[in-house]
Amino acid sequence: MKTNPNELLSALVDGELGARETDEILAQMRSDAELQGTWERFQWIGDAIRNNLPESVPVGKEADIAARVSVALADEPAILAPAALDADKPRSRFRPLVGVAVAASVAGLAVMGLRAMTQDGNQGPLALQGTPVVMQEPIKVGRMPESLEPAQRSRLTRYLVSHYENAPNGGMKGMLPYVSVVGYNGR
Amino acid sequence: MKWHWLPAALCLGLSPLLYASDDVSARDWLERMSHALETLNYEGTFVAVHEGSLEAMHLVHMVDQGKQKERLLSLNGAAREVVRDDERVICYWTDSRSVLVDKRGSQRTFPRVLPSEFSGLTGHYELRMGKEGRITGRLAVEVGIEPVDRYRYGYRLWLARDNALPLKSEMIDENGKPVEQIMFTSLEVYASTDDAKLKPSTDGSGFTWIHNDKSVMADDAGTPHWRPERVPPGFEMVAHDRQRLASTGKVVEHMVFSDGLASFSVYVEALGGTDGMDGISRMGAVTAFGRTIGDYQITVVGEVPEATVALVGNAIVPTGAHSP
Repeated sequence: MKTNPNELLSALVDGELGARETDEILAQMRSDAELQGTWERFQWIGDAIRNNLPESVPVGKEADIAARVSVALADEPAILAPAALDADKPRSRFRPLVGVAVAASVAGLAVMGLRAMTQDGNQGPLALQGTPVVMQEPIKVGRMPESLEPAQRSRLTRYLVSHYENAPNGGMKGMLPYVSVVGYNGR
Repeated sequence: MKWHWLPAALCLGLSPLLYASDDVSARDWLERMSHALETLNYEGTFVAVHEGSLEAMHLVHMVDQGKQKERLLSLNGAAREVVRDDERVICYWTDSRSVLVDKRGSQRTFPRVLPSEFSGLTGHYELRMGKEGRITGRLAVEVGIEPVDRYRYGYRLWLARDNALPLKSEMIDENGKPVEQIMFTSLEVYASTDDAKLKPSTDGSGFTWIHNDKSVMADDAGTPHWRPERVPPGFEMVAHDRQRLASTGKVVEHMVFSDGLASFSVYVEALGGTDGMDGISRMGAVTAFGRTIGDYQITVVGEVPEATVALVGNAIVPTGAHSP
């Protein structure tokens, strides 16, 4: 049983928390700006390590986060090694469940698929394969683009958007189904 | 948008006795939630937790003269966002410098069969009221939606006591584990609309624009060429069409099945044996199943358990309306 907030946070990012612990850490994050900041850094530093930071940062709230993360990157090299970024740790959801490691999921496809459609397939995530960072992260970055052909990815992207636009239960979650389309950040 | 909770209100029954029941007050709250989601102007930041990932996102919803406009933006990594209104959904990916445009299909291209309102829901889910609590610093009521079998996910929703907007939601799998958790860390309601908040952070100039245009087949679009021999109890086909995609010229048959709450789509596309995909994959709330039958790719996708997409995917057969 983990009780340290930072441990909980790491476990959360790793997808290792149960419902109760997840509730707990989310509750703590709400009331603890510092913890929230730590989480943001986990996310952004992870992205930075994966050479995945946005070229340009949007204005407003996000810009604040970006600025804080830049500072964090400069000030806290130690945070580069939290368990959350342990590259050897497989993320269960990204393991192929059957054969084709389609894995990454349709949601990922929404992002990866379009990359593939607009680039020559050796760009974007695939290009990252040459970097040491990605070598350490076979599950999170390497497998997905390898596992699906560009045509498969773009097709599933189409399917997912079309499904959401035509399924009758939109009222249940409003715009939130698109979390799956937007949320995938390439990890 | 499709606010199919609305009929629930009509099913309420006005008997005070009935009204007092857990089930009915849960329905009442769900209907209030749908109404709030549809009619209020709101803006919030939320975290979405799936196994293996945690994302922060920003959501804006505005209603202008009865028309809804929405914007969803990722706050981590490269900006990815979706904006949509009555007519279109536009997805922007700044990292790949691409834009996907899809026309809203629901009221237009699809011959739509209304789901059997909530009668189906009754048999396949149990609704209950949970405890009141505090979420995002606000009083919230908990509504539970529990499936009776393993073919659909359950939900726990925490709705703001004052305006019924969902402050937190959990989608629960057959083992009681959360598939997806969403929680707002801030949620503001506005009296008036502000279009500036809906403006995407990029205009997409210089991006590759992909139009997911399709033309509905004029032939016998009403008759499915494929069908699942069986689907899990309670799921009915609520929409069907066959389209030719402008981008590839390929014909895609699309069927949507719903139990009133959960839904999945079946796609059958003639791929000529290339780019086929087999097996189950998933991330977070979405599960997909792929299978190849001759030249045809069968894909079943939705926010439903693996058991559901696998059962349906394996049950797809040609109807004989068109020899494949």
